[in-house]
This record gives sequence, structure tokens and C-alpha cells, in this order.
Amino acid sequence: MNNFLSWLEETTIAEWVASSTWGYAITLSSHGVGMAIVVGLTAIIAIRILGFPAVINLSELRKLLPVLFFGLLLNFVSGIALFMAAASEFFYNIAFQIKILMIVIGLFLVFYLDKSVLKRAAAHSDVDLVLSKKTQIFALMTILIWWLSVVLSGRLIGYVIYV
Amino acid sequence: MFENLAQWIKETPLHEIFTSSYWIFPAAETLHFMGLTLLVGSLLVVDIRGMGFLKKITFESVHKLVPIALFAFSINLATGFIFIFSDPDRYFINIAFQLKMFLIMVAGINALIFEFVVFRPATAGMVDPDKSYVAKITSCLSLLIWASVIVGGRLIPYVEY
Repeated sequence: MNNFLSWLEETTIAEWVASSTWGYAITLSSHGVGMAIVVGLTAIIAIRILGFPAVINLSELRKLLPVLFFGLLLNFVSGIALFMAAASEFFYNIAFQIKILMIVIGLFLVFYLDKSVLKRAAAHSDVDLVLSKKTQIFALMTILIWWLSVVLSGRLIGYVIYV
Repeated sequence: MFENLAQWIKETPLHEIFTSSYWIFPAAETLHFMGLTLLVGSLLVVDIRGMGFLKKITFESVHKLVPIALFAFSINLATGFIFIFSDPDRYFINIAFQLKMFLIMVAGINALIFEFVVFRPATAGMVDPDKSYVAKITSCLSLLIWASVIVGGRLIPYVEY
């Protein structure tokens, strides 16, 4: 494993991110913009499922999913590049490990919300859409996972790098 | 001027409080990031609507997200003050910070133009917001400016020398 991680750090992409003047800044900036898109749009959709503002159609919000996926793609690409630049440090960093696990859980929750709420809203043009307590709890969990886990652990990666 | 301001900040009790614990800065950073996602999330919906998409949502409806954006912005203003008060020497002279503050000001003016040239006249029935070029331009600009604000913020540590 350690050989693989060291190899990653020696690739052209990793060296561009780690050593060029703008590599790290550009990649990290893209990661920040992508985060805002993914976490921000999910938060708004989840807050809407919780009931606010009731006048906004969930079927219309569902049309923003391609934008959310664009943000995901941006973060997937920039995230891999950032990881490669210091692979052997990130891999063993507890904050990083928690972050990745929470991203996977968060994505499942987004997928669940789409399947259980947004798709139905789109199919019935928002008519008779019942937002059950269960889906609302899932919406709340999605916000908490993205914010408390992903954003928090992402921030803390730099602070616990030597733990 | 900046040196005096930084010196004054370092003599305030707030500076002492914010630097009294190692964890206040990262905690404020985390809140700043949560605020930024909420700000961008709400503005994405408002501005994409303003650009002419999602027409089933009326302008009045989408405008209900503006308080969320303002709430998020106040979180970031407050946590931003914590950064500045913790480490004033670092920010005022930083070109990325200066650029970021300038962009936030432009974003504010841009939002006011949307509010007073498009939204309020539209609610009064004087303007059709879906036919307004000002709506489309200010909405598009808003997204571009806020994306640049994020980039500006991310660049602050890289232009420190």
C-alpha cells in the first residue's frame, strides 16, 4: 500500500498539484466551489423537504440535480488530484478517513431523497405530495452529514495531520 | 493605515478572546464553510431562476430564499471578523483578501440592483422579470462573483509572501 501511495505522489498530476506555483491553489479553489455547489444545493433541497419555503416546487428543484452532479464531478476530480499530492499523509489521516466515509453516506442519502421525494414530485407535478416524517428525518440527516461531517472533517484534515 | 488598524485590533479584548484557544480559529473556519455552502446554495436557486430557468417557480417564491442567503452571509461576516481579529496582520495587506472584500462589495451592489431594478418593480407589476435583461445579467454576474469570492478566499494563504 505504501508503495502505491508513494507512486501516486510521484505522478505528473501529483507533482503539478504539490510543486507548481498555481497547481495547489487552482485545485483547492475548484474543490471549494464544488463543495459550495454540492453541499449548498443539497441543503436547500433538504430544507425545502423540511417545509421551507413551501411555495417552491420540488419538481423544479429536481431540475438542478445536473448542477449538483457537475459540482460532484468537480470535487471528485479535484479531490483525487489533492489526494495524490500527499497520498501517504491523507490515507492515514483520521479526519480524511471520516470525511470519505461521510461523503459515501451523504451520497446515499441524496440518492434516497431523490428516489423517495423528488422523483415523485416530478412525476405528479407536485400535486398531493406528502412529505412524511421519515423523509424529513432523512433530509435533516443529509444536512447534518454534509455539514457536521464532511465540512468539519475536511477543515480538520490540516489540523490533525500528525495524529 | 492598515498597520494602525491592525495594531488597534491587537489591543482589543476580542483579539485576546479569539486567540485564547487553539480551536476557535478552526471552529470559525468550519462555520465559515457551512455559511458559504448555504449562501451559494440559496443563491444558485435564486440566480438560476433569475437567468430564466425553473419558470414554474415564481420570482416571489424564489425570493423567499433570500433570507437564507442573508442569514448565511451574516454567519460568514461574523466568522470573518473572528479571522481578522485573531490575526489582523495577515489579512489587510493580503492581495487575495483585498480582492475578496472588493468582490463581496460588488456582489452586494449587484444584489441591490436585482432587488430594486427587477424584483420590487416586478412585484408591483411594473416589470416582467422574465423579459428583463437586467435580471438575467445580474443573476449570472451574481454566480460568477460569488464563485470568485470563494477562489479569492482560498487564495489568501498562497499570496502571503
